[in-house]
Amino acid sequence: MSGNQQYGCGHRHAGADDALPTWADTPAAARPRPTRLKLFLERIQDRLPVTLQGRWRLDRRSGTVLASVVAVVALITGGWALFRAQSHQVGTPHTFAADPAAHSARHTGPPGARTQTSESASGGPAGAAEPEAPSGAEPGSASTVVVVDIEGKVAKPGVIRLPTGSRVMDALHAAGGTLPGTDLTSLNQARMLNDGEQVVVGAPAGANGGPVPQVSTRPGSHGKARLAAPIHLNTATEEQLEELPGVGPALAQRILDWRGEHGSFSSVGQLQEVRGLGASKFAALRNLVLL
Amino acid sequence: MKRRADPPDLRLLPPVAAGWAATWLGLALPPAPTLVAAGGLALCGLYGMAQARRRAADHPLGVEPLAVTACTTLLVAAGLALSAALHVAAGSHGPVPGLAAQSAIVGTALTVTGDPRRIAPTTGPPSSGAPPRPTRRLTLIMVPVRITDVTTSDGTHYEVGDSATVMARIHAPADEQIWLDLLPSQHLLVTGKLVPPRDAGRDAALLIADRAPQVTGGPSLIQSAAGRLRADLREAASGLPAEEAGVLPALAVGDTSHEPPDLADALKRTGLSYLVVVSGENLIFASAALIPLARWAGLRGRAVTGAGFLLVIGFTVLARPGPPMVRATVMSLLGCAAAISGRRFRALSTIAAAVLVLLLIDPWLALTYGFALSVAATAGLLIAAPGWCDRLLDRGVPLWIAGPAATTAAAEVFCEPLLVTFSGSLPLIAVPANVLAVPAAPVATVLGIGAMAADEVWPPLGHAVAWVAQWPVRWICLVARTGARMPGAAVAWPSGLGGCLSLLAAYVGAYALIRRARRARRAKQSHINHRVSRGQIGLDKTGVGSV
Repeated sequence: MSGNQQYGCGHRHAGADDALPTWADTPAAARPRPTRLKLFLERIQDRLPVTLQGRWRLDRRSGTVLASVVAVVALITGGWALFRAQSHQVGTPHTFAADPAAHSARHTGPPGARTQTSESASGGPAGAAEPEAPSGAEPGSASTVVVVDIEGKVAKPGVIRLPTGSRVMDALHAAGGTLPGTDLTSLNQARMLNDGEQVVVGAPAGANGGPVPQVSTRPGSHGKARLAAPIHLNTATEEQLEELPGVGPALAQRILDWRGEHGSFSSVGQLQEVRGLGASKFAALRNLVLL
Repeated sequence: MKRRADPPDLRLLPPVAAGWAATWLGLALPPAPTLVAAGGLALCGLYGMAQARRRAADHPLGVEPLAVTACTTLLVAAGLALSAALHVAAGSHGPVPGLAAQSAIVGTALTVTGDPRRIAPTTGPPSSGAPPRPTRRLTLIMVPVRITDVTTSDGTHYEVGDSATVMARIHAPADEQIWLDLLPSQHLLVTGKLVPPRDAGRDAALLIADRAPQVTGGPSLIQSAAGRLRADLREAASGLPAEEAGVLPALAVGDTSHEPPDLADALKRTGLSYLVVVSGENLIFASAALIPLARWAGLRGRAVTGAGFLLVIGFTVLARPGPPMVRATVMSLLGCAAAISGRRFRALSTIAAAVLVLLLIDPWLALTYGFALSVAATAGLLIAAPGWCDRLLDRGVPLWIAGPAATTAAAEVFCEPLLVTFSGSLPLIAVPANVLAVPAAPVATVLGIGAMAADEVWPPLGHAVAWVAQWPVRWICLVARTGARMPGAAVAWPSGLGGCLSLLAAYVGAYALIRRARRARRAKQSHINHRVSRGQIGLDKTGVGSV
């Protein structure tokens, strides 16, 4: 290995001074005397593999340039990350996920304020749920708005709020219109909306894991013709809850306990917070219960 | 014996190493202490630079390079710590971490950012001597996403921008395909439970979903084209036996969606698993095949470069553009470019610069094993492989063995201290397995990409090419399975930090021994000083005895 012979420890100090313009790239006269540290570093350097014997030292100019570039880029990328993580609370929810998770008709009001910290956000749902939830299903605000869940072949499915007296056509419009090619002949667009109902316009193939009627409306609060009468979670007795598939006396009691503890259910999804009610059981129940 | 130009340029190594450490610490700590520490480092660095400048003014020749290097290192570390602190602050910002802490049920609007990954249910034996492992009867599908909207169950609605992972629990078989068919850049509505992420990283939360998502926005044009081509390759390979049909897409474009799990395990145990994750290697194989083809088609000069450029872009899209892909591509392109042409002279500098740039863009990389492994492997290729290859050639080993053996051994040796922390064993079989399997990898990659292109044009042709491609794939599978079964394929070694440190200590010991032995041999050969020679041999023997 010629490299080892050239840079190796055979001529340790001599090599450092003349053959290598690298480790000691300053004229010998400029260095008063090799300090202990320098000698130690040179010995380490000699013992490295050939590929690591080279120029290690930065000069002042490149060091300054490197440090400034790193600082500027760090500020830019960090600032960009902060900017992208910018979150804020928007007024009334207009789009929900495809779950009637928030059927609460409780008027959240137009907060407008930006919730910057996680503290205020985390305090919100838990703290607010208790005192206000009992009035959740009450038609207190229903005199001015109806809340409907519009699902299926519309541009923006989800839970929407509309003025009382709105019709199905208004709901379709508010959900961004129907997707092209949707057959609407069997949907009575002139029907007036009831608070808490779900309007299903077609269905994405297989999205619900089973055959779904192409176009149908299911008035939520008036029972369903094809299903057994749904159980109202906030008013059901223990016996009624036990009629649900997979719910025995113990689980029914826990559901009642949860309701007693939290006042009421403000969404069907909260059933999952009941101890012992797992995801699969919830999936079986979620279409059989109402608030 | 060999051409030797300037000594290697290693000036970037200390700042980048310190910057990496600073990023790592900055991500592990809360932002406030990191910012204070970064400020302190920056002040020290600036003061040192000012001192060096003043002294340089006093003595025009008396620059203080060591101090300058140290100060630059401090300043770079401070910059990267600042970036890490800002990223951590961004991650813990907003309502999502708070909602995750209370396991809230939320409705979310998401954008998919990566490929869905399927985790099969574990059906372990019911506690028959085996450690009690929780059995999971549900299939899980993990999808990396970015949350754009959150609605809590009491109706509050936030616009956010947090990275997260969706863990979809599959209850209905029909749902599984919906989740698996998701493409990056699709927009979804998902309802589920937000919980804190399992391990530290960029994710602000894990979203557990039990129902199929609702797709509200299609994938971008590029992603849907890439998804279509990947589907073409799977289709072309569908006529092959199950194993080959699963491995061919993995080898060609890193599509591991159908890879059999036991083979994945065998590949891991024989140190071949890097072949089936997407990396720059596939790109190099593909361009090695393309360039002669382009010349044959009559392209010259710039046109060939242009074709290569298009290939790089196309392949990056196919294999999913994203931090892992970019990182792998950058690292292996650099490594191979250095190994092929300029040997080692500027390469280490370039790789250090690449690490710096990648860490600045995405500090979370500093925490990922994948990033550390790529850097370690590339460093191995640059630092150790050239010398080892030369030594093997000097001993008369033919190049086609010496090349793969030296590169895989170097990469393996440099990666092993990281790998051993969770594997708890040293795969001794890796080097021979690689020497055997590596020649088949480019053939399989190129034929796989060819099958994909052919299937797009005319499916029967695609099937024909895939049929040819199955033979190199079979060879790699055979090597992996045989290697994994061989006795002594792996040696047990402590795992965790202790394993890593003891392995590093073993390396240092072995290196010192080898170096001493080599010096002794050289001294003997040169016949300069018999007395010194005899002394060296004596030292050598005592050295062996003492270690």
